[in-house]
Amino acid sequence: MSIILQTNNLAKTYNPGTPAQVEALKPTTLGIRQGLFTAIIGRSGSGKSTLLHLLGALDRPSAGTIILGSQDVFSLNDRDLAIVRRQKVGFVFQAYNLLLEYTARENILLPLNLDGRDAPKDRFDQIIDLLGIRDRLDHYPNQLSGGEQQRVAIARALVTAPDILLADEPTGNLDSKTGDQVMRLLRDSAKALNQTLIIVTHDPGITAMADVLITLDSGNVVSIKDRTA
Amino acid sequence: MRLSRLVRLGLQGRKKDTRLLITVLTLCFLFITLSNIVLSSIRYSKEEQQIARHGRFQAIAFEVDEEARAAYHSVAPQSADSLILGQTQRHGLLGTIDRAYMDLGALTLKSGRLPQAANEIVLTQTALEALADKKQVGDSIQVVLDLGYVGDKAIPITMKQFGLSDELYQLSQQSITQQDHAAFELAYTMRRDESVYFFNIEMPQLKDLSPQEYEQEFNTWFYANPDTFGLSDIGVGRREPFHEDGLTLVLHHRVNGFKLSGARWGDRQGEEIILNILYERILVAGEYTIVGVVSAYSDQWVKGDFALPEAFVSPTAADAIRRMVSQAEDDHPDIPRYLPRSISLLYAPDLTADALFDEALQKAGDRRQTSYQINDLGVFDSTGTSTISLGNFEGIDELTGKTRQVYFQVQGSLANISYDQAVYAAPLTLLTEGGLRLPGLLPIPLQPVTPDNAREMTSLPLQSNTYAYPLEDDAGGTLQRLLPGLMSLLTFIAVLQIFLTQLRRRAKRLALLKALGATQGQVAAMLLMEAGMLVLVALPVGTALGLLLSFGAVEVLKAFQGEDSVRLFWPVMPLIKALLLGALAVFIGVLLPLVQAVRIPLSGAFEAPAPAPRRFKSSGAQKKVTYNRMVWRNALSNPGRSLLGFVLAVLIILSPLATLFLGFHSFSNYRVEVLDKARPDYVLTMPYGMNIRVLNDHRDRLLAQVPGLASVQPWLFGDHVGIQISDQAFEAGPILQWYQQYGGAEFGLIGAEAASAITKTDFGFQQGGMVIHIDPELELSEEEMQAMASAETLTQEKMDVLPTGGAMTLEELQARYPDFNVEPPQPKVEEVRQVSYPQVVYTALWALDPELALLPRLIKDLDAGQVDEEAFKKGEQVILVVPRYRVDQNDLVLSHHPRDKGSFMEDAAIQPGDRLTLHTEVVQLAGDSKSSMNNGTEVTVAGILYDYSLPGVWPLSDTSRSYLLIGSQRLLAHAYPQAESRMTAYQARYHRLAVKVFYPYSYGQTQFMVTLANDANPESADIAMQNFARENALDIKTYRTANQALRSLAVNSALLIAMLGCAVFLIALVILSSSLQSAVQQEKKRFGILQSMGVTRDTLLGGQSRYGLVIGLLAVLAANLLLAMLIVIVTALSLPNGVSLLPQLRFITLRGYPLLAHILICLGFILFSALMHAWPLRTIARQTAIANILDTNAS
Repeated sequence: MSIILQTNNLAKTYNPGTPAQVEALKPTTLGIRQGLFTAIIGRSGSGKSTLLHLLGALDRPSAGTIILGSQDVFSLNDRDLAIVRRQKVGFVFQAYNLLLEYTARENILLPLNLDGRDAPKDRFDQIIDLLGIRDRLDHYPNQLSGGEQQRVAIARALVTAPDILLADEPTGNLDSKTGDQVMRLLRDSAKALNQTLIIVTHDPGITAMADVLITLDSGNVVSIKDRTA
Repeated sequence: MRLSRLVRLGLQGRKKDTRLLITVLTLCFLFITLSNIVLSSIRYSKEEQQIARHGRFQAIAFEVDEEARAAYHSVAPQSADSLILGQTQRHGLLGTIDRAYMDLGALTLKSGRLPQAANEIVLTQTALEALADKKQVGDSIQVVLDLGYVGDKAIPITMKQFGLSDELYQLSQQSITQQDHAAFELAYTMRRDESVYFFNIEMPQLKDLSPQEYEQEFNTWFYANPDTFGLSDIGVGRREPFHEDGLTLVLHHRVNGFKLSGARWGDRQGEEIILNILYERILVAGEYTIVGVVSAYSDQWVKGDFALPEAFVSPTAADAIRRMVSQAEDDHPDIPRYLPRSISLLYAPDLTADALFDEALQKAGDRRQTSYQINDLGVFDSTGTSTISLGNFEGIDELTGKTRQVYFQVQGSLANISYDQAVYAAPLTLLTEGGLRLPGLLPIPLQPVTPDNAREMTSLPLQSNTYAYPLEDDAGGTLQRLLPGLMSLLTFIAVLQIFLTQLRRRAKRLALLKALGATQGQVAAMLLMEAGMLVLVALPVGTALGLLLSFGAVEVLKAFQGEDSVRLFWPVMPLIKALLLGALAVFIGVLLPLVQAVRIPLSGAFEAPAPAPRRFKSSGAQKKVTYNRMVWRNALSNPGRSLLGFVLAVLIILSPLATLFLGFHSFSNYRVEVLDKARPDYVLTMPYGMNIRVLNDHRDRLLAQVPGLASVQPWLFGDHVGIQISDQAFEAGPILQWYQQYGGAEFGLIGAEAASAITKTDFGFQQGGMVIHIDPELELSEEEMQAMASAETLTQEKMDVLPTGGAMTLEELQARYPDFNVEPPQPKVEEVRQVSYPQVVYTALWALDPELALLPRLIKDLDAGQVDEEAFKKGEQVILVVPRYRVDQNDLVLSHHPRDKGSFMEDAAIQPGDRLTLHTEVVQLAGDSKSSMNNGTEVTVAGILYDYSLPGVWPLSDTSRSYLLIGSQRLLAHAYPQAESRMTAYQARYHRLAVKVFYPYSYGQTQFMVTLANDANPESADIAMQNFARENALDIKTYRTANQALRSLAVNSALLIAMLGCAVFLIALVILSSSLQSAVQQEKKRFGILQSMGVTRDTLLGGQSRYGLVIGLLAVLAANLLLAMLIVIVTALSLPNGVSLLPQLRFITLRGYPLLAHILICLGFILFSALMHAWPLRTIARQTAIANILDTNAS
């Protein structure tokens, strides 16, 4: 399994040089293996979300680099970085972050539309059916339950066929039964589509499913457990 | 924690919100302060100037006697008086003067000092310069005071009224012999045989006379015969001078009586029989030394029809004069007491001018019951002068109630009144006080003075000083009253809107407070305290800034209107009131948000749940979503916010556009009245046509004498030129049809002008139903006038007063009037009106300046035809100005004004190439008919102007006659002198003499249009112009101040409109940008999500800019639509009859509108809107996706 995502001395400090300075992530070097399910765990404030955001190019590091494939992600200009986000990375937020004025279908297709692409019909159907939200496609987010919204968010992340799928506590706002369901869906769809899955969580159920476990504490990586080995 | 501390911390915590509120409130208070100060400065400066120029007195009273003076002083204790001694012969009215009078009247001492001794005098600048020989302080002059007639009775003076006393009659009767009768019969027969046909006298045969008639005829002849019992008039004037105290008093009186002439009176021959003595005038003369000169009144004092003193003496001198006159009165008991009256300047600082006038009117007592208007033609005034010298008025017969014509003639201060063959002499003052009593007639009725008409009566001896204290408020005053209200309204709206918006964001926190135990009252108190704290900061800052800016604003005004035009004035009380009103508006603006805040439920569910997004018709089919569409979708899913933004955008663009239009519009009056016509600063008029030599001489002297003149344009024109057009022309053209309706006579529209022309240039003398026009300037004696009348109306009596004392033979008549035709009597003319030719249009002929400098300009502007300059110069060609007109009910409304171009129709009746015949209005007596035509001059209409598109040609752009002719001066000269041969020989002789001295035309006027240069001193130019006018017997009309006033009004209005527009603009701008800022902030998360989906920064900004562009465009369209509606409504409301809306809009309301500026503003705004919408997004666009989603600060 090759490394799809490599960090080199990646670090993030908030409010540098002020009394409120926080070293959310200390210089970290690690590699994410392609096709595997990697879970990032740690207590709250350990820096796991920060790491995830950086990996997803949603944030900029204070130091260090990320190589995606063979590209130094943060050396890209704004436009190319955006393209990376559109095409290579899919992100699922804990709070779903759907746009309220669009139906489920429209929310799902948004990233494709923004990229100027059409959704290949079979792919769309595949994802929809996988996530079981076909009959909810024309509803607005405020007409959907939490689980349905999360599934729509996942569909949105999947529809662009990204290489890497990142999820930040995707089941955090769901009940345990639904959470399990969603988690399985994520894992299965990632496997089916040969995507690399990186999830931040402190749900032991999810942790149990992961291939690689990265543990963070106070901004430091304290352990990396590879279960495939 | 105390509530106030909580509030303060809250305000500090919500920095952005607080900053916005303080900015907006500061702006509001700034504009309240600024507008108040500027308005007040303008108003008070104007008042100050008016008072400095026209006097501080609030009312002026003439004719004030002792009793009235006491009454006035009780009403207005700070009044000042000038005791009027009377009219002098060469120095105007004489009165006394003191410091108080000068102070109240804004008179200044130009040199020297006030008079103290009895032989000292002070003159006004005007009086000094009017002296024939140049005098200055230190020189002495002789002043002659003419007190006029001082009697109080009307005294009959006709000899015939009295007849002979019985005794004398008996005496004469005894002397009548048979021979006398024979001589009479012979003379009578001879007269009969030699009857002069010209006079068409039908003399009866003696035998046909009745005994009474015979007796009458005999007596007339007998007593008129100087050899028998003749009576000759000894109405001679006599003088009685006496001297005292350096003064000389001369008493003029007339003795009414007759002298017995004729030998048959025997030793009584030569005896004088005095019937009565008529005291005509008292003259008091003295030597005075000029000790000072006082500034001229010119037209600065309001004075109605009254005269103001031009010469002043000390009270000592006044006493001396009065003592002398009293002495004369004592010596001559027939002379009633002459009580000089004073002029009082009334001033009461604690009363308004209106209030003072009303109170003074009450106190004036019966003085206000004075009547002045005797008949339509003119007035008498109580100072004993009259504006007309001859006329009629109506008296009512005591017994029958029928009206009787009373004919009068004024000589000096006496009127000779005749009716019923009796002649009375009466002082003019008698006609105006208590009513004139003539035997057999009811007293002439008085025109009552009511409080309503009192103010308008220029003949009332109490006049309100409307120059210094104008009655009506101009537009500025209205605006001043409205402005604080408008600004407060703006403040209220701004506060309401901002608080409401902010409240939505604070709802959760307020709910939290309530959950923590805050009562509703406390929440309300908090909001009020917030408002209070904001006002505490914004009010002083805004006021201070406003005060500072007011300096600048006043400088701007001064730049436009001159250094002395405006003074900075801080109106303490009105400003405080306005600021308090503004503060109150803040609190009222907070009320609605307060009510809402108080009602926030504890659940904080006030956090408006995401509004159910609009159902878009995307039914299953995948509609491609582009970022642009996303932006619009987002906007439309927040309709309230988007609408508010749009409305604010409309306000922002509407305010400069409305300001532009209203500012432009406030100049329209000035443009129309002054700029378009290039109305001159002065117009000098001579009521006759000058010959060229004198014209040029006047122009040159004027330019040399008056400093700072930019141009002097002379015009000559002839009135009452009749133009005769070929018959066909009457088939076409409403104007000519109109003429036809009036029978070609004085056209209805110019009828009024013609009537005034008649009054001005002709005097109507009615004799036996025919109107005879005679030029009063020829000053013919009454006998000569009557001699020219129709023979039919000459009676025996009038023949008697002919110079030869008896009948004229034909030879004598021809010798005296060589041009008289001797023809058989003609049939009587039935018409009362003057005879006129049909199909003739009366108008005026204007002659261009001698060098024809204006001709090229006129030719350039011709609407039809072509002019050959040589032919024009020769007088063969004319330019016809055909006015445009419209039909308004049955009236033709004419206009020469270019702005009415679109409203009016053209008249196609006369075309270039048509020939016209010009007839000039001239009196021609032939037989017993009068014709008033001259077989005139033929001209060709070479060019036609349909309206006057050329500014600067003042007289033509201001007259609204029917057809108007422009020709050369040669043509004018040619048109008129033909009149000469139609005059009587006497007239002709006089006319020829007059031509040699000053004018070749018998009718017509000369006008000089004078414009001042920009850097000239207006006050000294005014005085110099007036002096020139007086020296050269010209009438002067000063338009300078009126022009100036219109300009000031326009500039002031424009400035105020600009201020208001600025205020609205800035406040709306601040609110909108803050709205956009907070909207974008609220959307931060959304932007983050989009960023996470790969939307680039450029796309974000681009999308927002495009949205802003579209909003800007829509706002511009909406604003223009609103403005257009406003313009249409305003225009429609003031639409004159018969004018349709579109032409009025195009040619009047919007003429000259700065369209380019308007377009540029709109375009600028569209771009600005794009910028305004994109700007708040730039920080967000620069932040990372997650920073926006999590709403943390950028790192």
